[in-house]
Amino acid sequence: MGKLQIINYNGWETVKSSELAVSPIFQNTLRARITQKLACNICVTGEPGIGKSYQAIDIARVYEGIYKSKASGEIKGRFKENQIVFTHSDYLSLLIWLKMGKGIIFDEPSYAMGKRDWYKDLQKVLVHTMESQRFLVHPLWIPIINMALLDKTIRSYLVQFQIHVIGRGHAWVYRLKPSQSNEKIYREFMCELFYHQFDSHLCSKDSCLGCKTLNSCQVFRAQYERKKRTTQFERYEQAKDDALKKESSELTERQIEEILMPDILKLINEKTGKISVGRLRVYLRNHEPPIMLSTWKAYQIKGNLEHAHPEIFEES
Amino acid sequence: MSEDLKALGDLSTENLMALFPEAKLTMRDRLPTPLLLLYTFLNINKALSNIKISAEEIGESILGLVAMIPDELRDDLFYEELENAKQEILVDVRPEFGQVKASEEYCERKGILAFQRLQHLNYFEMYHAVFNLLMRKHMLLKIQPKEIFTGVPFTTEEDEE
Repeated sequence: MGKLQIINYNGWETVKSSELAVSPIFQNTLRARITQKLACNICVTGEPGIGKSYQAIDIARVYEGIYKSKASGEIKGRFKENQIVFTHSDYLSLLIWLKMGKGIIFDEPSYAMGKRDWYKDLQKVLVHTMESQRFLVHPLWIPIINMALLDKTIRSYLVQFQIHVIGRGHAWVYRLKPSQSNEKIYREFMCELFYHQFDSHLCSKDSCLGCKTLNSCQVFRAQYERKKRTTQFERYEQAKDDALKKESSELTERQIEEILMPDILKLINEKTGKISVGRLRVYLRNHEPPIMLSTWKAYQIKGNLEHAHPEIFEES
Repeated sequence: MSEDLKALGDLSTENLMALFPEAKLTMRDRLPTPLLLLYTFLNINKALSNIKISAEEIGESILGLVAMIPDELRDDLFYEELENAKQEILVDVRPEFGQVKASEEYCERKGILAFQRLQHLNYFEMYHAVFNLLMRKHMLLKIQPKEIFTGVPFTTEEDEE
């Protein structure tokens, strides 16, 4: 049988055997494409929780490589956690300062976002990547559950590679080639990937979830988990606000009147002795949760209150 | 034959190509070598299971298969294995007297050849050599390329020290 040889690839340990066809074939292809200034949009697919994001991160880390700091002797990676983005705005700000040839991971676009929102975001990101290929070359990884979630034009023509993750660190790579004469997409099998858990020499735990040292850990995957957690909480907050707004918009007139009744005197205009629509709207906007009313509805509620409690207005 | 062709004398492919510069070989003009090899293999396998076909005929087919393999594909190991397929067999040619073979001493004393050395080709060894060659040239099995990363930085012995 063929002899396996351990070699250095961008500072990482890899295995090579020409007889067994074991070599960093995908990394070499990626590197060659980037050298030729060709687009590299890669979809990482797989079931939820299988390790799509980790697979994408590992590939990106190998692609950019590691080096030994001369001053401290510490091993540092060129791929940083701020190259992993979750929103379109983050992606664009990254394009401004990121050096040519550096990779970007647009992580979990479908996560905690409305389908339409991430769909638009992703479309914009891919179009920007295609445009930036002319002068900035950035390989882009998109971990996504299924390629069918992408727009047909994007999945057919803008994606060059598909990495289908079938197990932890185990994936199949396909080269996607659209036909130039019809709508067919040719999916050529390229190679199989085996990426063992990265940084196992620094941390032997298989997951950061539930780890007590997550907040202070400097292992790359912990940094990523922290960033992801922050983004998730931001999204939860946003989703909560949206939900409250939606719930408040569905309040009936009677419910809104009940909210207004305790402070109704504050809403009365001293000059006219009637309810000020402006004060009413501001009061509801500052309410917790905020209630946004249209002018028409505000007048409707004003009329209701004045009709239902004439004694209050007569007194004032 | 036209005057131009007569002038060329030697009708080699190069000369003909020079005569027709617009001519260009395409994929369609090429012989489908894998298909030819496949047909030959299938024919040999059919012959092996057919009792009407003699061992000599099968041997001839295998020789034909060996002849089809171009020199560029052949390697040293292939020639070594072909050499190993050549075998010498000893045939007992001692005379018989009353259904009893004459002894070796008798033959030696009388100057009679007792054993004859015959060159023999083991066709199945040749067939095996062809398979080994195709295997070495990655023509039999499609080996799935793999990329393996251990996830740890590469260190040399000096680094460890």
